[in-house]
Amino acid sequence: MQGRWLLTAFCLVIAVMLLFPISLLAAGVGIAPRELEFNAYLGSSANETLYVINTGDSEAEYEIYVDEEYKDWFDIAPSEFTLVPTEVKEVEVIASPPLLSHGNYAIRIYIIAANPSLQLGVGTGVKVPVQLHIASWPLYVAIGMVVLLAALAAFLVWRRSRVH
Amino acid sequence: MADIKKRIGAFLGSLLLIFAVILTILPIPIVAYSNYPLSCSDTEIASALDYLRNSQTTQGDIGGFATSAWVTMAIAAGEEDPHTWKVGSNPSIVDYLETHAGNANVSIAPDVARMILAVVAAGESPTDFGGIDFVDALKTLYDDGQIGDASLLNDDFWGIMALVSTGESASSEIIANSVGFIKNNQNDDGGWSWAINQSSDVDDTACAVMALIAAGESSGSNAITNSLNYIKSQQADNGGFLSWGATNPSTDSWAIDAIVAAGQQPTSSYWTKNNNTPIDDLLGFQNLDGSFPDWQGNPSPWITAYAIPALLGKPYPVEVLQPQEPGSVYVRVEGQSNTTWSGDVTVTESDITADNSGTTYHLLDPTALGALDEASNHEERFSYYVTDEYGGLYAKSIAGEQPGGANGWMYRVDYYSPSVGADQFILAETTPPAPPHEEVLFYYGAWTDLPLKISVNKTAVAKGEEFSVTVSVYNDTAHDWSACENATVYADHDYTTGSDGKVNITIDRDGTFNLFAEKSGCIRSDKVSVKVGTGVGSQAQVSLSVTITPAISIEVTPDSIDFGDLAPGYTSDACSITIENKGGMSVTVTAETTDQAQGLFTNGLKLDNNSWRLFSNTINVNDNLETQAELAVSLDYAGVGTKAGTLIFWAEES
Repeated sequence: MQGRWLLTAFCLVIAVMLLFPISLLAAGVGIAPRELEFNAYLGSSANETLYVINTGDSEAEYEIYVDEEYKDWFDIAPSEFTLVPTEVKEVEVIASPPLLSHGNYAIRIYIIAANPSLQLGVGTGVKVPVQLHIASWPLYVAIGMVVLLAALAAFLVWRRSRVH
Repeated sequence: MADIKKRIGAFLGSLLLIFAVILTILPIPIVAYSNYPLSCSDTEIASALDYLRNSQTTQGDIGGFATSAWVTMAIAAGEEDPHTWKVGSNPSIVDYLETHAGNANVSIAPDVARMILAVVAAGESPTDFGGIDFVDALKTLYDDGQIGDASLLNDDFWGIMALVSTGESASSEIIANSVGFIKNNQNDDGGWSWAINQSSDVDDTACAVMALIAAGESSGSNAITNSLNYIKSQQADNGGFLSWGATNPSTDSWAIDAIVAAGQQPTSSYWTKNNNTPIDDLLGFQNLDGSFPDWQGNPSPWITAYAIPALLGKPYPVEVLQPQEPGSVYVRVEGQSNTTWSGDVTVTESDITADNSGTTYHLLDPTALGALDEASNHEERFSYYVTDEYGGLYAKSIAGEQPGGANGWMYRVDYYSPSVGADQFILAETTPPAPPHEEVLFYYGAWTDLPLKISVNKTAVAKGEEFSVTVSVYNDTAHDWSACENATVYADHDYTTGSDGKVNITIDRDGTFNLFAEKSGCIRSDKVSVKVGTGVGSQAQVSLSVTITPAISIEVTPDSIDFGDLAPGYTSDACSITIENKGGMSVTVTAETTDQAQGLFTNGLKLDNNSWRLFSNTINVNDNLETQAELAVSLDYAGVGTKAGTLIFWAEES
């Protein structure tokens, strides 16, 4: 009698497990390279490629962004995407520093993987250091050239006005 | 009218003032290349080296065999070790050159010279590189007072530079006579061509200048002065040097090399034309990727390799072997049936006791006998018996092998049989043979026995891949080498050379084989190693596969947490979260929480009983960390219903 009861209970447990599998999914993100370095000139842009992989075991949504202060300096394409497990996305990061911003900058790019959830969604993220070096001399040389040409043009106009 | 003039004047004045201000604040001078030579850390050099580095194949070569030699010189000029230039764990560029040393045509002097220059630049021995004695090969091409083809000059230019790079004395017969040959064929305009009786060109004139200066010619001599005048006459308005009517980076590079070799500054006013220097023109050719283009405008490792030494002010030869350390010599002891000992020794002075008389002799100089004595004291020591019964000291027996009949122990220096006893032959001094002395050979045999030499065209082959072995025999009268027919070559088994002294060998099993040659009436050759095995040689192919893990990667389990039903003032049960480092670096992990629930999660979430804000842990590669998450709902929390939030674990490289 007791044996039959145990057998019934065991079968019920198995049936419940089959009907309602316990889900313990993992969220994961992997990136390469470990840091990005941009060498840009004023008035120009520089590109680097970032690779993002879903190392988890469920589909996840990914978002990439930079420090708020520098968000206008970078174009990230794509900045939002979905990856299935093991899928890799090639992301183009373009640094287009504004004028008069020469120097060296230490910035971060954030790659975040999260699952929208009605509960507390647990996600993962990676912070990638970015070194941005902006050289100024090409712009200055260009400005110098423009000024020089303007001066030359003004001089020619002045000479013509004297002749006439 | 006067008003208009005044306005224009004011306008012009303003513009000039603005321009002057801009020039003053410019952080980089407009004339960027006044500081010559460039240094290895300058962007132009660094990017050129990067370009070359990125052009390397997994075989180790950069731009093929010949170009790899030039690149090796450029790497050395850039103060980097070419041995470290490799793709991952693949062969270095030096390995590549050594493995493919047989590709060099030893009958063409410029080919041999190029290899010598590259091998010396790599810090290797040009007398034994890939089983080939390139120095000997070059000297063999010396004929009738010049190197190589008597109608050519460029083989003399590069031949001299190569020999100088090996430490050969400028007063040696080959160099002295070849210098004379070059000077005798200088054209009336001061220049040289690649061949005699041909029109001058900048490239070959520059090479001639480098060769002559390397051979000790004074930079103020007529030959050098006239040649520099010729080069100057070919300078274009853009600062570069004309070749076929236009400037190009190759010609610019060699001309700059020549100017520097002659002790002049290519950015000096003399070498500046229309405010342009040769350096300006050369750098004007550099592409954004650091490369320099070939004649078709394509990025070229070859031309880039020319440009780097020129920009660094390091004309050819970029490296010169240091003079031999006195008394440093390679000793080989060939017994009746095997090699007793071989290796390098350094000997200064020696105390040698004659075994027959017990008298100790103090040899003040490094001698051939002192080298034998030094060798006998090495770890793999051997005994020898020395006697003074014949006047000087004589090594009568070595390793127990006694003289018998017409056979006994004799010695040679650099294969030459000296006319003095081994105790009187002072290394790096006694002649003949002329110093530097590289090898002292003690051998058991007859007076008439002649040395054998063995070389291979490949030092590493795939299993079943054929390679060629050449055996030469020394001529004691002509003091040169000739093909040795019917010599027995020992490899995996015995082979016999043909009338050309060659035999082709194929080995069908893995291993490293020390090949040597023997022949009756000859002295056993030294050994040359050939590596046979999978993954070696041009015919072997191995499929390679690797999965690269991300540089930084973490995985968190689970990907959501349900804390269940909670009332204000209550705390949930702990939920376990596992964080795994799946990347290639150790990471520091921190946490961040967001919510759209009036601070439910940002205020109430705890990790390991602390606020999530305090969470910071380092996780090593392939390691994981478990943390306990709880949610405490404050008593005054006003919300009801299901609330959502996000907990992010951030990873940063530690």
